[in-house]
This record gives sequence, structure tokens and C-alpha cells, in this order.
Amino acid sequence: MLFNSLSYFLFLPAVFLLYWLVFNRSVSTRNLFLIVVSYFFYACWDWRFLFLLVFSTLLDYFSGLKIEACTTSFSRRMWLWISIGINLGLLLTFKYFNFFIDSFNSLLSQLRLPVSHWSLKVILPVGISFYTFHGLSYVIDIYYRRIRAERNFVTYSLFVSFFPLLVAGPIERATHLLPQLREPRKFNYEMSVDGLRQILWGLLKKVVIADKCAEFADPIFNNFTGYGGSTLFAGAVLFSVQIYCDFSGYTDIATGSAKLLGFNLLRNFNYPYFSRSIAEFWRRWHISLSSWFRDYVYIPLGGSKGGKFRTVRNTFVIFLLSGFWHGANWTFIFWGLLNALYILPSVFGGSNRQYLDIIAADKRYPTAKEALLVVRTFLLILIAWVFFRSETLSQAFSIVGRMFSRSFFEAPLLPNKAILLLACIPLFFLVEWLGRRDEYAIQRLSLNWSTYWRWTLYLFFSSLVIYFLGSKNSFIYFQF
Amino acid sequence: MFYIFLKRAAFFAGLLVVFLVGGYYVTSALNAGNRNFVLQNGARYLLVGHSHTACAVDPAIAKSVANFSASGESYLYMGAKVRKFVEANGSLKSVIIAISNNSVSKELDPWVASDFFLGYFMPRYYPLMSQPEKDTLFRENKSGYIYSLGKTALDNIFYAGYRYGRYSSVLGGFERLNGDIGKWEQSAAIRTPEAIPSDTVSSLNLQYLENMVQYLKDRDIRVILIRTPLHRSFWSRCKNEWLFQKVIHEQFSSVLFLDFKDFQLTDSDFHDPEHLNADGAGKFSRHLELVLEKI
Repeated sequence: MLFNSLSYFLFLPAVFLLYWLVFNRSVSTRNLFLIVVSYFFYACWDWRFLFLLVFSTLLDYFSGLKIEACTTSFSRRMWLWISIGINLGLLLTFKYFNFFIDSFNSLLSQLRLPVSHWSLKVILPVGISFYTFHGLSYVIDIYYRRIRAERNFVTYSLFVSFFPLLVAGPIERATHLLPQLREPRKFNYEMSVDGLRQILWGLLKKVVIADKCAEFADPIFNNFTGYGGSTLFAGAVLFSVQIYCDFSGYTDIATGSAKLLGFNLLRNFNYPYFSRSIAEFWRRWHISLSSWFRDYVYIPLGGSKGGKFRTVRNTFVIFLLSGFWHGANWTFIFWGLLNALYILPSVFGGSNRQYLDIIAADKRYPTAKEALLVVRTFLLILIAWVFFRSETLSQAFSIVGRMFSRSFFEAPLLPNKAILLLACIPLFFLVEWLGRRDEYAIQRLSLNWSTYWRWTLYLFFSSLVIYFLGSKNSFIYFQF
Repeated sequence: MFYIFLKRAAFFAGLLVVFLVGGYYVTSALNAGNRNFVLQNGARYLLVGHSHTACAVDPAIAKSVANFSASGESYLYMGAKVRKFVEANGSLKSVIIAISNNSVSKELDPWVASDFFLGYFMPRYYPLMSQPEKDTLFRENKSGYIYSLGKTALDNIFYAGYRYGRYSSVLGGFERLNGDIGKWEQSAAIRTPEAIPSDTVSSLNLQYLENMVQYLKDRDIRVILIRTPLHRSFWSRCKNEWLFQKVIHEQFSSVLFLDFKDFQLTDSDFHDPEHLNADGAGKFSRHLELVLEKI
């Protein structure tokens, strides 16, 4: 069930009405109802993987209880590693098994050793990377005594399986979501209106912008040998906009859906394309994953304490892991490596904590320097996206090579509609710029307008969504 | 507050529905009296079909033919269009309908009601379609149909002014292609692979061809099926010629069939194996005009 599908447009209002009107006796009733609908939501993808979800939930629930109950540090650590081992084992099996086999075969072949050409037809269970990380953060937090183990199985199950964040995040923390799940929920008018507005903005980003960008970016990447530098550059720009609008659009719909049910989810995006440095970009892009790696990998490895060498090593570790998390392909690993290289100068220069504020926070426009820094960061990220989007490393290098060849100065081979789309993209970023101080761009955009004009704007946005809705393209991050 | 929220959300949804449905009916009503389906310039033949005929018949040369073919159009939509032309042109005596190896094969059934084709054709044809045709589309693809209803309403609202008085012009016409098959072969890397006609017969698309033929016969309008010239390279990947012949001889034996598959043209007259470029269309249109004069 895609967020941009008719079935979700029927599912969400039905859940909303039943949740507030029928299953409203107690917190437990509400949570139980949300588990049932979340499992139904997940079963719509592939009911067989429900067993995996249940297993993962049981594993972390009991591991959490065991870790807390243990009195010796050895047994605490043992239970922690059992949980981490099984969680990562499942993830490795379902997500990376064939990658390892293929890479191993490729190595044997290069060493002229006999190769066994076999692999398993493993289907990737949707959302496995996300709910595995939910579970891991939970047991690690218990291990470090940041939280108490959840005794109520229903509450814990809902933490793992809550449908808005089940398939592509945001990757929630037990410290943030569990307390909300335990508390009685009261309907909040402002929060619900805000949720609806955020869903509308998310749909607009996904259906109108991301899917249209994909329509033109995909043929360019799929047939890159037929295009010159300028067209490939345009394709990379389109993909950069596509992946942002696709993923942040998904997050807006997820967050908005959760708000309708009275929950606040972690923020996942904070206008990353207005970043003045790569370090700032990574504080604003897929925040829940970046902070997960920071808190559960980077800091336990020593973080930035312990000299430059250790800081650099830890930086590389989290970026390589982040790349690998995205998928079993060398392109993702190189993408992570490239980002680590980008961030290296700021690590050495000690400037990676620069730009913690919002760009031009108290001004209307950025300074020339800020604008140049934003453009530079965008161009660096754009090159990294080429690796992320390409099927193979050789394809990515070929595209980047062509982008920086003489053909960059030729007129791009683009359909008129793609040129029109590229011309409209600044308009989208203008709206984003106006709303950059808020959680999402139109959160307060029209609040001081008269109801007539505000509703006219919402009707216009809704019409655009309906007009472009037909193709029902999946979200990029569902494959991770 | 909950009920206030519900009331306002329902009011907004209602407003949206009123805007879509009301807008559609208002613009449809405005356009209805001005949809001009009268054939111009004394054309005696109405030609409908998909891209093959859209690119092959230039009405500036074949003056007796009004070409209303449209790329990707399946017979369900053609039928809706043909009815309007028949109603508006009492003296119309012949309708030429394109048929090809693709259109008899099952692979063209999705051209009727897949998401993409519904989204493209429903906004254009919805005002012309009969209820059974709408029912078929709904039955074949329920969610796609519902998505396309919204798009249909908005499309009619957005383009109401543009289409006012010249609605038929958005329903097809001659498509002038440039470039020859040599260039097309060079561009093999940057195009999507051509569909290979399968050897399973169409269940849905051909049903609507039969309906259209029957509709025309009931009104004493002569039906001519036509296959436009095909490049020799087409035959290397086309394996369903036997099926095509079977359909022609078994289902449409009573219909005049003009087969130009081997019409003599050079490589430079083809845009690709299935479509003529402007030069090829010129040569073929001259020949077609002569043929039509004789029959």
C-alpha cells in the first residue's frame, strides 16, 4: 500500500475515524488497534514477511527484558550481542547475501579460480533496514541504561510496527516514541490540521515533482551513453531534486499521518539543499539515520575524542556503513566514501560544527558568500548522487567523466517538458526558502491569509496532486 | 474539536469534489455545442488508427482522407470518436481503420486501460464515451479509472478555453516525422526497446474493433481496414503474421482489407521499422489517394 495510492487514501481516513471514535476506551485499546492496522498495512506488501516482523519484535522485546534483568556485565553484554547478531544476521541474509556471493565469485574469477555461479533468490522484505534499526536502538539504549525495558508487549510491538514509519522511517528512538505510546492521547485540532497540511505538501513533492523528475531523469541515466555532458548534468540535477522530493515527501506523509493519530515523529529533513557545507548537509538529510549512526556507531567508537586519526577513521566508518545500509552495491559504498572524503577537510580544519543555525535565519536573502557556499555544496552532493543513482561504478564514472567534458557546453538534449520542469524547480525551492524556518515549507506559509485564499491554495495543490497522481510510482527508499 | 475538524475536513473534500465534478460538467456543457466533428475540405474518408496511420497519411496529399489517427490509441477510444464523426457527417460513406500486427496481439490490451493509457486518453475521450465503455474501463482497472476521473475533470477545466470550438483537433491528426531509419538505428542506445507483437490474440482490443465495425455496418457505412507499409527489418522480430492473417480472415472476412505492408519504399522513407517519415508519408499518401479513387 503506497502512501500515494488510492488504497492509502481510503485506509488512513478509516483508521483515523475508528481510532478516535471507536477504539478510544484506553491507551491499550488504541495501541492494539494500531498494531492490527499496522500489520494489515504491512501485509498488503507481502504477508509472508509478517513473520519476520513478529520475530524481530519478539527478539528485541525479550532481549531488552533480559539485558535489564541481568546482574553481571558479562550476561548483559551477551544478551546485547545475541540481539545485535541475530538482527544483523537477518539483515545480512535478506539484504546482502547475494551481494557477498557475487562479490566473492567476482574475486575468485579475477584470481582465475573456479567460480560457483549460484545465489539465492532472496526477496528484500520491505522496511527491514528500518525496523531492524528501531529494534537495535532499543536494545542498545537499554544496555547503556538510557531507558528501561518496556514491559508491555503491545506498546513495544507498536513502537516497531507503527505503520507511518514502518517501511521507510523516520528511524525512531525508543526514548522519543515509547513515552508517546504509553501516554493517553487526546485529539488535538491544530496538530491534526498541521498533519493534513503536511500530507498535502508531501504528496505534492512526491507526485508532482519527484515523479515528474523521474520521468526525465530515468531515461538519461538508463541510456547515458547516448548523451553529452550538459544532458547528463541536467539528468543529475533532476535526480537530485527527485530523490529529495521523493524521500522528504514520503517523510512528510508519514509524519502528517502520525500527527493525525496524535504522535510526533522525529524530524528527518531540514532543507538539506540550503546547506553551506557537507557537514551541514548531513545534519539536514535523513537526520534519523545520520543521528542513528552518530549515536550508535560513531560515538561508541570514540567519536572525535582521541585525536585526528581516530576521528577520521570513525568518520569513514559511519559513511561507509551508511552507504552500505542503502543497498548491496558498490555504488552505494563509493557514495558513502565520497561523502566521507568531502567532509574530511572540515574534520581536519575543525569546522564541521560550523553552520549549526538556519541559513539567513533573520534575513530575507542569503549573502553572496552564503549563496555560493550553498551552490558549491549542492554541486558536490549532485556528483555523489550520480554514484547513488548509477547501476555500476563504471557507469557512474563514465557519467561524471562526460559531465566534465567539452560536451557540457553543448545544448542539452531534453524534451520541452523537461526544460519546463527544470524551469519550475526554482519556484519549488523558492517556497522551500520561504518556509525554511519551519518543519515543512508550507507549515505557516498561508496561516495569516484569509480562509478563502488559504483554501484556494490547498484546492490548487490538491488539484495538482490529483492531476499527476495516475502513475503511482513507488518511493525510492522503499528498496532500502 | 474533533467534530469541528471532521466537519471542516469533510467540507474541504466536498468542495474539492464540487470543484472537480461541477467544473467538469460546466466546461463539458460549454464545449458540447462547439465540438466540431464536421469533416472539412470535402474529405470523403474518415481515417482512424494508431501511430502507424497517424504518420503515414498526410491529408494535405491524400485530400479525400480526414486523418484522425492518434498514437497509442486503442479501438475503444477510436470507437467513441468515430461515433461522433458519424453523427456529425450524415453523408459519410467510408471509414478506414488501421490494423496492424501489434493491434491484434494481446500486448495491446493494456493500451485500453493500463494506468498510463487511461491517464492519457480518458481526459480526452470521456465526454464522448458511452456508459458501457466507461464500465469496461472501470472493470479493467478500478483504481486507474478513479485516478483518471480526477485528471479528466481537471484536464477539461484547465483546457476548456484552449479546446473551445476545436475539440476534434486534440483527438488525432497527421504526425510528421523527420529522420530516417539509419538515424533510428544509431539511436538504439537511447530509446526504449520496441514491443514485439506476441502470438496471443487480443481479447479486449479486438472486441472493440468488432463493435466499431458492426456500428458502421449498421449505418451502411463502408469499413476499410488498412495496414500501412512496414520496413523489411520489422519482419525479423515479428512472429505473429500467422495470427494477423487468421484474425483478418476469420473475424473480418467481410471487411475490405487494404494491405500495404510491402508497398515499395526506400530506407530513407522510414522513420523506424513501423513508421513512415514525412517523405514516406508523401509517397504513400499519393498512392493511397489513387487506390481510394478506384475502389
